[in-house]
Amino acid sequence: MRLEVRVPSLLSDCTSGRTRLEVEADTLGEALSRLLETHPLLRAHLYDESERPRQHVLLYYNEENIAWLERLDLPLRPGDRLTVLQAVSGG
Amino acid sequence: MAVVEVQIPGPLRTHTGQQSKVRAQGSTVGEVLQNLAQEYPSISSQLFESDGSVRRFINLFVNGEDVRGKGGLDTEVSEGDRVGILPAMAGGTGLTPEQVQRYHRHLIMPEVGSRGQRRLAASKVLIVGAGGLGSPAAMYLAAAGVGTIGIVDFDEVEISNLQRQILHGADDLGKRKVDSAAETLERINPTINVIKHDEPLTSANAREIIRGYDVVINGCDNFPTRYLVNDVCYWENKPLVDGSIMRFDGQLTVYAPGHGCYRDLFPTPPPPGMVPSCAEAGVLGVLPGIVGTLQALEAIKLILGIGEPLVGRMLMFDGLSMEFRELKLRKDPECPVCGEHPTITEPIDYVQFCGVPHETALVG
Repeated sequence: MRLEVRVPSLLSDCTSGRTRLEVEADTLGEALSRLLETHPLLRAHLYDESERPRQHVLLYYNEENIAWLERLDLPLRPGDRLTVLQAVSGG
Repeated sequence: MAVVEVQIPGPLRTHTGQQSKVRAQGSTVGEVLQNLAQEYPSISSQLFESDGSVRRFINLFVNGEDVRGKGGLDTEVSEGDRVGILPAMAGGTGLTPEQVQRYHRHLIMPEVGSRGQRRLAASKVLIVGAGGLGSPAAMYLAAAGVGTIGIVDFDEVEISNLQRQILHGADDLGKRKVDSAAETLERINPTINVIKHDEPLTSANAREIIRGYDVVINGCDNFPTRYLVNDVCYWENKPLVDGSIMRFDGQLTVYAPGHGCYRDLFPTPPPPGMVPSCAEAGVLGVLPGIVGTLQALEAIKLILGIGEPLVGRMLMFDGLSMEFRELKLRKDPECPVCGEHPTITEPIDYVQFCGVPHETALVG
């Protein structure tokens, strides 16, 4: 199944300049792993040195924050999206 | 003889079976009113004096244009024209004739009307930062008739601001931003009151400043001020219309009292240097125009109590793909400010909290 991934333009330096990506996987967790394998520079922005999710970055599986999910081995469905949201300060 | 649509203001709808629009015939405005009074006899005494002349406080419009600037009651109407009736004084709108004209397009909307317009006039909105977001927000709120607009900013207008901060123009270079902003708002709407807070928003003054307003719009450009504004709005029970921008990306949400806060999403700021500022990474000039305008809209909805405010959800805007997306937000019971067992109950040292050098901890 294909998961559509959106990253903010600030992080597109880590994704070959693209803000819209696609990842092939069967589950959400697998898609996340594959995303970081394909774009290893993203890892430092999403996780800290102890592999904990960074507190200024949110990962959304469709409309839901993945931190609210009990498990990540959810089977992907057509049209699923992963959105990376990063706190920005600009005004 | 034309058939026109007559727009009936709220106070007169008891005479038209609560209809806000009715059809009437006539070749002039005067004939349309006569025809309307025949159709709905009880409205007659509202519109006409005993001698048959139209009562003085009744304002009449054809397609939004005041008939006084045209042919008065003899103004001709054509098929499909819209004739507006707005009572200006006692028993009517409580607005001055000038306000009735200025806000006509609001007054004919059922969601605003004269009651809503008076509510806007009585409202006080604080805009944090007279910058990219604060500019369009302040200008639209001024135009809309928000009675008191406070602006907090301690900066001066620089040429690099002008690419997006439309409160300021080339003539304003070097001026205090609050002065330049107040002049622009005065030009748009001299009937409103602009309060200039020509100082940085700090842990020492934020509670007192924010306490004096009904709604806060966040247009600041740095993390320390974002956490400060968030915390103080929570403690002072003020709805916060939050927006932030970077390059082509915008984020917008409303933190309403009792419905969570910025820290539920982002408990701590990014490590220093990890997320650049607009000064470092850039922002397309139009982007704050979009997000700041949406902030003004949300503020007006909150003041009027209409629609569905953007509470519990975040709107993300991607200008490159031209997409709006909505994400759900949740209260964090562990939040140190709005959670079940708060540990932060008064302003802290936000510069230290964010670990940024002091000189970057600016509003604007």
